[in-house]
Amino acid sequence: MSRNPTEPIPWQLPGSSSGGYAVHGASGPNWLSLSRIRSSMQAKLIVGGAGASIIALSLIAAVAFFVTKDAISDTVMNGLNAVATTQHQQINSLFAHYQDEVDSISTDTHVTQSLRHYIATGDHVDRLVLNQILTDRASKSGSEESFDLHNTTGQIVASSDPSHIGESATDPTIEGFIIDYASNGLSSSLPGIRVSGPIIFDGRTVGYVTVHHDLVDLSYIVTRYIGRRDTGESVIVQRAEDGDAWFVTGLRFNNGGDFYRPIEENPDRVEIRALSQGAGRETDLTDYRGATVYSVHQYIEIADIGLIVKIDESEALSRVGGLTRALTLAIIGVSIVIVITTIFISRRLVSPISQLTQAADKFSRGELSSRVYLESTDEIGTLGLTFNNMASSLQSANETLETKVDERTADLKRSNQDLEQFAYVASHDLQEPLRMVSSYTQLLSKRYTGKLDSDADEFISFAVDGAKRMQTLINDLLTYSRAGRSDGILKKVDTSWIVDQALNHLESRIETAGGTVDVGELPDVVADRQQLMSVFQNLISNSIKYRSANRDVHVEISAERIANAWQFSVKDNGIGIDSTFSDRIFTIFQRLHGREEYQGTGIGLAVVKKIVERSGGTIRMESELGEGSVFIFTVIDRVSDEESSQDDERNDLRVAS
Amino acid sequence: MISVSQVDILLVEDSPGDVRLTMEALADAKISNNITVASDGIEALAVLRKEGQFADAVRPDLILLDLNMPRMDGRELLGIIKEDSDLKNIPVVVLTTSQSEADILESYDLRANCYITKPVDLDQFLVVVNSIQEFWLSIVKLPTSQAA
Repeated sequence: MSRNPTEPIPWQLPGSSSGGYAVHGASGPNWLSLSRIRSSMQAKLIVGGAGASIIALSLIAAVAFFVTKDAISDTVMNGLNAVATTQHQQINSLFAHYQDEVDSISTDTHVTQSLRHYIATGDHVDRLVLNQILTDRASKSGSEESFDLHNTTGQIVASSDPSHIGESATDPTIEGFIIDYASNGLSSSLPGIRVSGPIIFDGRTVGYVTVHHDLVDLSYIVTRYIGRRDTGESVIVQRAEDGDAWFVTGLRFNNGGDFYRPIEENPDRVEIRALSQGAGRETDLTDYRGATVYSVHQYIEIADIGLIVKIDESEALSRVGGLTRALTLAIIGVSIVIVITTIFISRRLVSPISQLTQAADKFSRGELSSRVYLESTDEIGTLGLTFNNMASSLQSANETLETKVDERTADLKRSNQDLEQFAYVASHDLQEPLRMVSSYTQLLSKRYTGKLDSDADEFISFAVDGAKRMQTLINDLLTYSRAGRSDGILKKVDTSWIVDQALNHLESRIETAGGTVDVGELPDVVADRQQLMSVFQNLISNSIKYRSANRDVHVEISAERIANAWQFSVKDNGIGIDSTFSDRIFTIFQRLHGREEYQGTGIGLAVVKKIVERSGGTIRMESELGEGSVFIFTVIDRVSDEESSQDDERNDLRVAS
Repeated sequence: MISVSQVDILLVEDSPGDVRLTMEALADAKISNNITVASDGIEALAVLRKEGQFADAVRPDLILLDLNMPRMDGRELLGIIKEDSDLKNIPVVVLTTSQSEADILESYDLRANCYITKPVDLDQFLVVVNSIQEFWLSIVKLPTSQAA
């Protein structure tokens, strides 16, 4: 039936043998933080998973943004460049045409001969002829043009516009293209282009021809804004003498203001840049409005002008802005999806773990039938199965153990009862014959002492003495076997009253010994009154019995609250005891002194110990030889329990009502 | 106060040692007495009812009753005596070794007149027996015995 004691219990850990089933009922310090662990795991998954995805997505979006921005910039720039190239070609064509007009006059033999003849003779006819030629040319060209012929000193000698005749040109010797206010036939408030060239005869300059143009043709090239979106614009700038520059053509956002607008020498201005460099593409310059623009500029050397084709950066990148919004929305959308997915997945992941945790928690709190039911077949599912297997073996091991403990406890109880019964019956049944022996030896002694010989007297005396001692022993045995049996009802009693009763019983002995007893403040306890009194009586009696010969006996009784019990002390100033004997004094019939020194069978402290321990308390003695002893015992505080349970009842009633 | 004639005592006791000891004690007493001994309840009842060999027995003035006896024990006998209208006035002193609370209670329930545990010490026993006799036969006033 019983297991071989040397055979180890399979699951038992080394070192836990005395503690029995150590896991049972244990509650580790970590249980409270389990939910926190779980949620932090979920949080980690969400923060880790979703965070990483969102960061990655944002990086991709950023890369996409910059790539797209570059692509769009390139496209815009290419568009600007195409416009600039086209307009440059158109301007070149226009200027070539202007040059052709000049050349056709300066190389016209009719003109050269008439001019030479006029200069030489001052013949009025020549001038008329020249005027006519020039007027024909002007009318042929169809635009607001005027053709002038100058002599070598610059004086106008013939013109398509007769009012010009006699005037002096500002600087007729300048060849090429001049754009200024003086260019437009001197009469307009608008600037114009003046194209001049020498008239050469026989390798000698005989005069100059100047063709005046308005800026309509040039403006027409650059001020067509169709297909240039909201801010697309071409402007032509010219260098001014003071280092500034000025606009040659009308501005899209000028609101009818002056053409001439000085541009201070600021290298970040696109107009300045256009004049200082041959050609370029820039994305970070500002225009006359102060707006940052994407620009392409080309320098047209023949007229010392710069052509700028530009568009506001904000408009150029408006599609990038749209892209940014779209990307942002996409990132937000995808992030939400990722977070939701992560939460879902983490729940799926965490849920079996928390199930396992709960099951293990229950299990460790003694619910040994606790199991997990996981559907998954992955590692966590396997863990669940392993847990269940472990739980099953522990449960069965525990059940076996519990059965065994129950059996052993029952055995022990039975054997204790048997022993007690034996002691009681033995002592009780021994009483009867012993009483006979005792009575008749006494009767013998009474009737025949002195009537037989002296040996007989002695023998009878020994028999009487032995019978009496045996009587005492059997009585003590009876007392001991009865001690601690809770025949009496456990009641709330005042320990002070109990001690008073004990002191009453011992009054005469205390007086005889000249002793004093100090009783401190003592609590109410739940106990068998008779037995508790027996404890105090025995201990006080013990103190009186083992008093020191050198001083009056003094006993102090006090109580102190510890944990769930009251701890009582009975302290004396008696002979004390060597601490090596402090355990033995509680053994029944154990005596440390000769019978002649101190009477008694050695039952008192054994009875005290039995009573104290039967009621769930402990007792020990501390002593110093020659100084005194203190007996310390505990009584479980059931008064507070009772009161608190009454409180509970009251609370229940209150809730119920 | 002093009774003139000798008194009759019925001692119901199965142990010869105790019978002898009780008789020794009674013999020490001041009052002369006549003791009838019954070794169990049935015999005691025969004495009380003057049956068979006890036809000429006298009605006792006091019954000293042990509890634990063979055949009919003291409790049963006590019950019968106290239910019997002729016998119930005879004082019954339970004199036993039992200190059991249950026995004490039961005895008084059965209307024992008093319950005494035999002292173990001989001298005390002698004192007790003497006191019983003194008390019940000299001090206590009992109804005069009615003729049957």
